[in-house]
Amino acid sequence: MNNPAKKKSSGSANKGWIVGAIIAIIVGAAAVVAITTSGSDSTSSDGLTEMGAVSVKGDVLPAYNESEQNDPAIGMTAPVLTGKGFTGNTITTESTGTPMMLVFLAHWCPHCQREVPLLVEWNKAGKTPSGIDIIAIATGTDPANPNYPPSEWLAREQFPALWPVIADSKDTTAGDAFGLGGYPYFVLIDGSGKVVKRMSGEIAMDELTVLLTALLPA
Amino acid sequence: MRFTLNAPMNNETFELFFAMLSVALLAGTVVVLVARLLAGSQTWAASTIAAFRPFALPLAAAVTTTCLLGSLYFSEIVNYKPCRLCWFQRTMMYPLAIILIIAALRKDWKVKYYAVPLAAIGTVIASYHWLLERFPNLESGVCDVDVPCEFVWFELFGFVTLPFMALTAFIAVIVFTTLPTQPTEQ
Repeated sequence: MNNPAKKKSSGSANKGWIVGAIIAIIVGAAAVVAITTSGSDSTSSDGLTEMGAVSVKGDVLPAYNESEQNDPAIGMTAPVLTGKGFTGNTITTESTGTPMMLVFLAHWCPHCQREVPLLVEWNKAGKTPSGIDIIAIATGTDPANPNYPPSEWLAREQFPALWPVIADSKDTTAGDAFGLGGYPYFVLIDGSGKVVKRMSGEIAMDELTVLLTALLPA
Repeated sequence: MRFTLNAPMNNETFELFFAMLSVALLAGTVVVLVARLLAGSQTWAASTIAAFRPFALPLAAAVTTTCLLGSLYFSEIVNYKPCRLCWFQRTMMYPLAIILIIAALRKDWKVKYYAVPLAAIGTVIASYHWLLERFPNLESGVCDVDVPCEFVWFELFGFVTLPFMALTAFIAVIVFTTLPTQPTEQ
């Protein structure tokens, strides 16, 4: 037989337990927040420059949209970037009459993490067409994101030993100048400094070889 | 006012805390599920379910409330920007937290009719998101400039990521809210 008084008392106890549990969770979360926000750890990276000022000379390119069939940047003169490498060395994309490929990479992007070893292997296998300058730009850099710093990541992949890498600014100045439309991002520039092709996303090395070979003078 | 963290190393404490909660929740959910499946034939399983039943709704409410607070902590304090799929999961998780708190207070087992559809949709989205983290090329070969969904903010124990945590919570909600109710409560 049911006892309403007992049932009511039991119900109140349960409600108290629930409210107590929720308060405990909130207090616990607040305590963890307080603890985790009180530290003063730095994110130094052996004195290397992970982000740096980049100067842009020339008109910036319109934003790249993969779904557009006709890229409006094709035929435009590519802006010239001048910035610093991870070790502070000055790097520029000024045209020297040699066709060029710019590769924009983000340390946290899993597709970039897959593409970089392919590029390195492609070079080591001797499949990179000669007569083309390749310059990478480490952009989208954020110390709060995974796989930071980019200098360590690329060094691990032996990338800087093959090609120069510009450390883009925190505000992605270099990326914006080229209308960055996703990572990894490639911009092909002919010997006269005109944009020939822009593309984003992982690309097969065989396809890249064909595209770069087409850049070379006949 | 917006808090910001400049101590990424300290975030790891909180990430570890959440990851351990998630694994513990998954283990507990599996135990409850197995007990429920065996309750008809095994005395210990029936006893386990009977003992757990009073805590099922409060626990489901606590789990989803923790997820709500945790996701706000990661996005608003640590500045982990939510991606598109994160937002879809939030649209399932946040209402769940509210209705499950109310249901737990009212001991309203009929909440399953509202909670299970939300949790089921959340399970599908979180599963896909977790798979996308494992296999980034499932969707495309390019990272969005803003916040790509294949982006892994952190990973612990080799498999616990933010979508995995959401996934365990959604599954727990389904299991906990669909326990057979006692005859007197029907």
